[in-house]
Amino acid sequence: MSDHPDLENSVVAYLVGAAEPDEAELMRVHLAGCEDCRRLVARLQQVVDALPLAVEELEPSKDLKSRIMTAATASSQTHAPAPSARIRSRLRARARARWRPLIRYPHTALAVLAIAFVGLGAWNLYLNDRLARVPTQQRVTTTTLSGQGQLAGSQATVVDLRDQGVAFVTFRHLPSTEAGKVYEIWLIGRSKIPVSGGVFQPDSDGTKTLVVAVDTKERTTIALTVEAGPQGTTAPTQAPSLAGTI
Amino acid sequence: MSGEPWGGVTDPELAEQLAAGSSQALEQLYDRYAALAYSVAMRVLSDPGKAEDVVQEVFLKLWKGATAFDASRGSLRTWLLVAVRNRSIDHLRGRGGHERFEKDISQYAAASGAGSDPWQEVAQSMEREAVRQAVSSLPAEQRQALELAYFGGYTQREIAAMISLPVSTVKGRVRLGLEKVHSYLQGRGFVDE
Repeated sequence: MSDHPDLENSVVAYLVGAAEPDEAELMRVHLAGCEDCRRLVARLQQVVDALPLAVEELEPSKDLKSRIMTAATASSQTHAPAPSARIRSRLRARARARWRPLIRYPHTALAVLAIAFVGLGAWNLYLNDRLARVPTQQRVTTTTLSGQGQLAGSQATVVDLRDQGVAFVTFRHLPSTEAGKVYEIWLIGRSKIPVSGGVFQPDSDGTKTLVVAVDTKERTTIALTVEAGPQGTTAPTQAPSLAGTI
Repeated sequence: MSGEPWGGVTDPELAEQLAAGSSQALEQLYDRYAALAYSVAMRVLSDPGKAEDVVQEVFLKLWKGATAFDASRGSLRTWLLVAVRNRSIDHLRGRGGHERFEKDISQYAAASGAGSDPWQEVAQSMEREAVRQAVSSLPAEQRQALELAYFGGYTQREIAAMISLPVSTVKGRVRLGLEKVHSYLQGRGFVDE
């Protein structure tokens, strides 16, 4: 046993989650360097982990199981596995190779961009004309959302293709997350329960475009939080720093 | 008891099947631990609707993150119940931060070797009655401090303010309570020194 009982009591308070945030930080540092306290934690952790067994057993409602299984099935269908690092690296290399000639010959690049700009302008006019002809409920709406707090200066442009049940969300000026953290996008529909729309890291220039599913009939709130990576969480752990309803 | 076959499938096998995306494994996990998980959530929240929300959240989190589940750092049941307790407190107290705590503290259990799978040493062979007995045998003031901290999610300063005692007294009571539960269970061969 160690000869610092006051610290040991603080370590135990930390072990049961009762330490204040400032003291918890001190305990993390202390534990890293104190073998005695690490042994104390290892010994009493067995007891702390057993405490949930002390509760009186109750039965949840009959439909909870089907709710969980339905949500799990839906989640399986919407969470496609992320490409492996090797595949991502290959895709990046392919993208670099594709743009290399333009980087090597900047005048050619400018000419190509000018042609593309004119082409896109014409395409835009064509699309606007098409949009003016389609029924109102099929129109595309664009909404800009602004960040606040830790995301002050960040923006998201949401292109809502409501009749298709999807929206394109383009984030700009997103700061990099802390190590081990990811951005998680949340969709809040009629149920008022935030549903994860996926996790991501912004590109090096702070941008990211995602495609998210939206309710075709109801307004959807889109929100962004920073969560523990790499999987994110099943419910937001903080107030969103960027949110808006489309 | 944790780790024993339920219909021939052990918890570590279930964890592997979950990681492979087996919804049947999720269903089996639910049948095995949902009542206990719900009971823990109810103990903290006292609200059936919110308790079920937490249980759903945690089962889905396990489902989505099953590939990242590290069996060497604890059993499936430990992970599930600790997560339910922590999420319930986050809901109740309106604060996050327990996730980091779970990760921070689990590293010491893994590093020590003694707690690499706490249920192997504690709950695998421990009946719930033994834990209840151990907790209920505590002096009232120690049980109160331990329950306010663990199931109430209160910090030591909040508990001290509630019962009008110094923080050092609260810490001492929590420590003594845990030590006594440890001794009780150790005396019956349920935990290691």
